[in-house]
Amino acid sequence: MSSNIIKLQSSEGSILEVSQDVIKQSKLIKSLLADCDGPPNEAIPLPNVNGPILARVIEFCKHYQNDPQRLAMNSSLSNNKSFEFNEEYDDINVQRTIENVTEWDHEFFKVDQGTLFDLILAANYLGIPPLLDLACYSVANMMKGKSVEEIRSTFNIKSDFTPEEEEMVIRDNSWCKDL
Amino acid sequence: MDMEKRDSSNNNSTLKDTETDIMSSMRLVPVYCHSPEYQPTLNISSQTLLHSQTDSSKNDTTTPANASLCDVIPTELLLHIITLLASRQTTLYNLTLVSRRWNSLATKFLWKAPRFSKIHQVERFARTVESANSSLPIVHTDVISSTSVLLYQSSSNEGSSDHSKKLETKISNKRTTHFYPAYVESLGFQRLDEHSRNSSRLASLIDRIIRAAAFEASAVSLPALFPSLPLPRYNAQFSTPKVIVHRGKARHVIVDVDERTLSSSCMDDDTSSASMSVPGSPTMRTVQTDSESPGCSNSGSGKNILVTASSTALEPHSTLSAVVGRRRQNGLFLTPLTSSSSSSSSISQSVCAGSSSMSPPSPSHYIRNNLDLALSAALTNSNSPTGTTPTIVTSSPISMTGDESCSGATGDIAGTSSSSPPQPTAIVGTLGVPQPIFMGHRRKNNCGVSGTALTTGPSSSEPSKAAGGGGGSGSAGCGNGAVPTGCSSPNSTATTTTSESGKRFAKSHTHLPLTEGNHCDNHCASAVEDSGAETTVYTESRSPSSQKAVDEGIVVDSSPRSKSTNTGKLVAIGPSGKVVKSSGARSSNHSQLSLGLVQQPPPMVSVPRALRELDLGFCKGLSNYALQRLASKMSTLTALNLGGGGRSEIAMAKITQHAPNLTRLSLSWSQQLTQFGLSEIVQHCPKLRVLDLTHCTELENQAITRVAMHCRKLEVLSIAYCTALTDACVHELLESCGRLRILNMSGCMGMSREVKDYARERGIKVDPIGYLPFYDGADL
Repeated sequence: MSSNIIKLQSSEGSILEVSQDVIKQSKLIKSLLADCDGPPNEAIPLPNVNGPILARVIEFCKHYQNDPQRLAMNSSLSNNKSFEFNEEYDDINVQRTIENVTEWDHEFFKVDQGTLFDLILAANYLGIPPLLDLACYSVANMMKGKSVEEIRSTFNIKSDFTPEEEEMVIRDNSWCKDL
Repeated sequence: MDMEKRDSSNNNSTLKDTETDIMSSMRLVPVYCHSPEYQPTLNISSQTLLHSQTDSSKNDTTTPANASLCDVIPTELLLHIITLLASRQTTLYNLTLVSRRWNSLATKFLWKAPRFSKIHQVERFARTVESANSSLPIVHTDVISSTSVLLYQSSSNEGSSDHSKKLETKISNKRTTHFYPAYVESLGFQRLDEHSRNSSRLASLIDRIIRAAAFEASAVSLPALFPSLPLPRYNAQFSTPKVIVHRGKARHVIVDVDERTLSSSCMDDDTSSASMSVPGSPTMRTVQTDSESPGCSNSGSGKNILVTASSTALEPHSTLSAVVGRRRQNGLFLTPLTSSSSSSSSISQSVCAGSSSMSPPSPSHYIRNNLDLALSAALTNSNSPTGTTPTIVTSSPISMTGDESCSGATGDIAGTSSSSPPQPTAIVGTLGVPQPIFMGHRRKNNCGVSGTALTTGPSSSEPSKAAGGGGGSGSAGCGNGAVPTGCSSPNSTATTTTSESGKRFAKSHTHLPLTEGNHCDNHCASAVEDSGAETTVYTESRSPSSQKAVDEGIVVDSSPRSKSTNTGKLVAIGPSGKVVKSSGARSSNHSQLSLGLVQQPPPMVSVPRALRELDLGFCKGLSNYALQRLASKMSTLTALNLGGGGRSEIAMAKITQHAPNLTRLSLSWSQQLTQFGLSEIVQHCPKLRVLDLTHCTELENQAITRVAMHCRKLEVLSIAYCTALTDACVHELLESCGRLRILNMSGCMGMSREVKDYARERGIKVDPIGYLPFYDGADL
C-alpha cells in the first residue's frame, strides 16, 4: 500500500501525501510516474504550486475521482469504469464538463479571486483539464452579463486605452450591440 | 495565506507568449495540451528547480498589491476563459472595451463568427467592414500567404533565398496588423427572423459585406457562409461576378457560384495599386503569387502578383479569366476576358502594362467572342533602374468574323516606345485565336517578356514568326497563337531570341483551354499541328489534381520542378528549341486554375521531349475531328484522359492506335463507348496500368473481358457506375490481371456483395473512396 502513496512537495517545501490513483488525474504527475520505475521515494517538487492550493487541488482530484454523478456520466459515455482523461480531451469534453457542474463544484469554487486564479494556474501546470475548465468557467461566470465598468472593477483592471483607441473600438465593434 | 504570492518561474513565463502569436493562431488550443512541455523541466533536477522556485517566490513578493489579478493569468488561459464565455454569452462587446489586452483577445471572437439577430446589425456590420477596409491595412490570409511562400520556396534557386526570407518576414509582419474582416470565418443569419432573412435587403447587405471584407479565408464555402440564405436567391444575387477592387488596394473577391467556393486574393503592394475589373461571370480564381527573379539586381520591381486564368468546362458562358500582375515600377496588368454568350463577334483585348511613369493604362476591353474566350497577357519589365522605362501597351482588337477566318491574328505590336533605347521593353500581347490563354511572366534580368498568344518581340529577329504571329492568316494564325514566344533582350539585340527564350523566358505559359466552341477546335488542332513541324509539346510532369471535372485544354506541364504539390496544368508549346517551359501552380482546391510563376532554372530547351501526358478530361470544346487529326502526334503519350467531353469511339480508337505506350487512360463518362470500341482501344494498349471506365454505362461484361484479355498489366481499374456489368466480369478480371490492386466497382448495380468480398480476399482494394484513377494512378 505504501507504494501507492507518493509525496508532493509544494513551493514552500511542505509535503503532502496522496494516493497515486488520485493524483494521476494530473497529466504532469502521470507522465512523470510513467517515466519512473515504480513510485519515487523522494517527494516530487512542484515549484509552481503552493501548499494550500496544492491541498485544494488534491481535494478536487479526490472528489472528482469518486464523484458519483460524474462517474455515472462518464460510464454512460464510455466503458471505462475508472475515469481517465485521454489525450483527446477536446472541446466537447469541455462542454460536457461545464454543463455538468455539480453542487459540490459550486461550493468548491466559491473562493476569492486570488485562489481561483491560483487554481487555474496550478491546474494548467499540473494538467488537470476538468479543474482548469471549471475554474475558468467560474471566472467566465464572473464576467458574464457585466458591463465594462463592472468587469474592470471586478478584476481590478485599469483601462489602458487612449480615448481615441476607445472610440475606435466602439466604432468598429458597435455593430454587435443589441439595440 | 498570502494569495498574492505567486510563482512566476520559468513555466509561467513560457506560457506568456506574445499576444500577437496567439492572435495569429486562430485556433484555440486548450491550454493543458501544452502541459507536456513542462515535464522536462521538472525532470531535470529537483535541485535547480527548488532554487529557482525560492528565487521567484522572493521576487513575487514585490508584486504590487494593486495589480490586477487577471494579469497573472497567462494570455492563453485568459483566452480559454473567454472561449468559455463566448459560448455562453451572445456578445463579447463589453470585453473588448476593458483593456487593450482584453480587446486583443475578445475582438477576434467578436469577429470570428458574427451572428446577427437583427437586420440593423447586418447593416452596421456592412458599414463597419466598409469603413475598416479603407482605413485599415490589409492582412494576408494565412492561406494565401503560405501559398506564396510555398511557391517561392519551391521555386527559388539558391540566389533567391534572401528574398524568400524577406518575403516571409514581410508576411509575418503583416499578420500582426489588425484587419477585422480577416477574422471573419463565418456569418450567421439564423437568428434573423424569417422575414428579414428572405429579404432582398439582406442579400444586398451580404453583397456589400463580401465586397468590402473580401473575406480572406481562402475558400469559404457559400453554404457555410450563408447557411440560411436560400440558394436560388443567392445565385440570382451573385450571378454576376464580383471582382472587388478597393481603393488603392487591389483586393478582390470572386464569388464562384458554380463551385460554391469563394476565393479571394489579396493583392497589395506598397507603392502601386492595381486595379482590376473583370466582368464576366464566376468561376474565376485568383491566386497571388510572387515572383522575383532570383539574381535580379533590379531595385524597384517589387512584387508581381500574377494570376490566373481559368476557364470552366462546366458552364460555357461563365468563363472568365484574369491575369493580374503588378509591380512597383511597371504595373502590369490585367487581362480580362470573358466570353459572353451573346453573338457578338468582335474581339478586343487589351493588355495593359503601365509603368509608374507612364500614362494611365489603357482601358481594358473585354473580349467578346461567341466562340470562347481568349486571353493574353504580357508582362514586361525592364531593367531600367529609374523606373521610367516605358512599357508598351498593346491593345489589338481582333475581330472574329467567322469560324474559318481567324483574322484575329492581327497581332501587331501596337506600340513600342522606349525612352532608353538600350532597354526597350517589348511586350505585346495579342491574340491570335480566341482560344489560348497565355500567361506570360517575366523572368530574369528584368527583361522578362512573357510571350503570349501571338507575342512577338519588337525586334524583327524572327521574321517568320513575327509574320506568322502578326499577319498570319487563318489557321496559321492559330498555329502561332499557340506558340508563345517571348522575345526581349536587355539590349534589344533580339537576335538571340531563340536561345534566350529558353534561358530567360522560362515563364511563358501557354494554356489552351478548349472549351465550348465549335470553331475553335479546328484552329487549335491546326495550331498544334502547325507547330508540330517545329514544335514539340513538352510535358514532364503534372501532379494529380484534385478535381478532374474541369480539366481544360491541353495541359501539359513541362517544368521538371513543378512537381510540387501545387502543380497545375499548363501547356508549353513552342517551336522546338525555342521554347518555353511552363510551370504551373494550382491551388489545391481550385480545379481549373492555371497559374505559373515559379522561378525555375532555364529548361533544357535544346532537347525536345515528347508529349507524354495529355489531359482532355471534360474538354468539350475540342471536337472529335480535331482530335483525330492530332492522333498521329500522340505517339509518345503515356497518359491520356479522354473522360467526358463526348469523345467518339473512333477518335478514341484512333488515338490509342497511335499511342502504344499508354499506361494511364481515362475514358470515363463516355456513355457512347461500347464493347466494340473498347476492345478496339484496349488491344492497342497492352501496357495499360490504369484504366478508368467510370460511368461508361454501355459497357457489358464482354467488354471487360476484353480488357482483361489485353491489359494484363492492369493495376487500377474503375468500372464504377457501369451499371450493365455483373459479377462475371470481375472474376474474369481477377483471373487475368494478376497485378490488379485497386478496383472500383461502386455503383455497379448488377454486382453482388460477394464478389466484392471475393476481390478483397484477393488483396484488392475495392471501391477506394476519392480515388481518381487517372490522377492518383500517376504515382504508380
